[in-house]
Amino acid sequence: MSLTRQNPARRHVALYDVSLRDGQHAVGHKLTAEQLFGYASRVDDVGLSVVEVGHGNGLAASSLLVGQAAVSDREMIRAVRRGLTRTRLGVFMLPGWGRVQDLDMAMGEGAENFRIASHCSESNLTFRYLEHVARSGHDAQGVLLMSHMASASELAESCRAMRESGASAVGIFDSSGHYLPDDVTERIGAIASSVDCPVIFHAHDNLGLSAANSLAAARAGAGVIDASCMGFGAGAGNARLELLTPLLEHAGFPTGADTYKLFEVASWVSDALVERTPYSDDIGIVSGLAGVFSGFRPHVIRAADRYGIDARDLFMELGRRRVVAGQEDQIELAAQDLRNRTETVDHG
Amino acid sequence: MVVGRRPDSPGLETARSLGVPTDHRGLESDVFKSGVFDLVFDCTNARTHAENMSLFSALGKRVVSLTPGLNGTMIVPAINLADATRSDVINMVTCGGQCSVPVLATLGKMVGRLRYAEIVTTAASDSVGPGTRTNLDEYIQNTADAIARFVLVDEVKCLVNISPAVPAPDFSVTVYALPSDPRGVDGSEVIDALRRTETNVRQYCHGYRVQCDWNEREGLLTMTARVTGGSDLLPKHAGNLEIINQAAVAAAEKVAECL
Repeated sequence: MSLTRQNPARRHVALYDVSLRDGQHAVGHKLTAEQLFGYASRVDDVGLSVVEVGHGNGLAASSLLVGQAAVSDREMIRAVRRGLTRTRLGVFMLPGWGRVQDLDMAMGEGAENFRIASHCSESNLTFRYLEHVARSGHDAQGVLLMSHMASASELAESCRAMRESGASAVGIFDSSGHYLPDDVTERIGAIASSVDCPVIFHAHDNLGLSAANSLAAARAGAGVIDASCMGFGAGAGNARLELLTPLLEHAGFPTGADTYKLFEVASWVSDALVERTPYSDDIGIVSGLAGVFSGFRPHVIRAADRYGIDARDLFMELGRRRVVAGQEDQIELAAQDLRNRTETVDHG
Repeated sequence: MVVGRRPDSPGLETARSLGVPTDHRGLESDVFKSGVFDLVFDCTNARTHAENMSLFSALGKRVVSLTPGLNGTMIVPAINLADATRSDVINMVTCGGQCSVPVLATLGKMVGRLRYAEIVTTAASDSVGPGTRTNLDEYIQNTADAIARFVLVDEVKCLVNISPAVPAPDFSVTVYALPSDPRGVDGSEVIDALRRTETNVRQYCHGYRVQCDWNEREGLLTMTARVTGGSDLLPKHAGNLEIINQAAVAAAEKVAECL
């Protein structure tokens, strides 16, 4: 049913559900096949465009560096495949972590949408994989991580190049939850005017702006908006699917998703998937301001504890170093430096 | 002599400024027609290396490949430099392999078979050229193959990060290893052995350092090898280029002893 005022529909926006991929960061990548199937089968008739599944860092990312997943990539895809009949199944891959052979495995298991991601300044790493997916006749999407670290024109140029490599949609992640709505408007606007395909936006809620930023993205021309049920995602979590859906409708962007059904799924998710309801605590706020990758949160808390330093200070130090996703091993080194500096001050 | 494929190549310009003869005509270069050379360093990419090989083998020349093409005898000088004299094609693996294999081989010697080894390489964005950027899959495969070749290990994982962080990070490889039998691992003996390995690698690559204050948690051994450049024209943070270049030079010098 419709809960919102009857605005004339302006433009359809597709909702892309990252709960079963980004949400993995919130539970140490430990979602079981039963949980994955349980979610997929419940969300299938909501009317979303894609349900994405995987290790939090994507295909082949299960590792000691970022955390080992409870089940293999193949089992994850199979569990979700069994649960979906209407909604498309998506996977995510970082070049340098996953390879063509992992994409081929996912294709063989029935994945339909393939996101290839890189740090915002390294988009040429994605070209080979976008071409491979497009040549195989599947949907390839190119996305730029940590996009606050690049200017609107740089992002637009990278998106244009990914489009030329065969992407059917391109866009940006606010991996740190650092953006203000005006930042999003400028960047999505620049990208939308440089490419002839849907533009993607992916928010995190560190500064409490994930819904406002997603709305700004839709207004600036985004055609695919990422969200997760209950905000189940890395760090402070993503935009909340069950909030964003009626909000977008309210603002004149029909999504085709059923809000009441999403409320029901959210209630199941809070019982069956979520260990800690994502919200932005002191560490989340500081990491958003510092502009550091949300997925670093558990690693930073552990390292701060081990070295007896303040996790918030460690996030600020990592922000100063401009570390990027994948550099989890730098957390330990930054923590050692901070501790040594503190000792020097204490003794000096 | 340095042969390139673009007349406007900044690399060829640098070589000319140093008084080194250059040619931009690739395989069409006169040097490949005359065949007046003993050994060629192939620094192209995996696909081009495969194409180049038909010419190089027709000429009967020794090849030292700095590409991740999966071809030839893998040489890590600290481990098997002597094998260089017995191979027509020498595969220098990858910078990550040159960095991590000495560490893992030493660990394997000290703690026995490894159940799992994981290496995470981080290279500064401006030190990673277009060849490597289109060859990440081959890079991962060649690195993992080298570890499996030189180390007794059941499972190998290799992750590659290219970081634009400012200031540019030194090239580093973090190594995680799970011994099959973690009992009786003597930390100080392992550190001593790693120090000796570090000394061996530093004989051909001065900027190589192994950070040995490793963590041992639940049988997990973690250590970080770093390489700084600066011994030639490259910036200090380009340790990835430094170690594979210096390893290739060491291999070529070994070959030259027998020519």
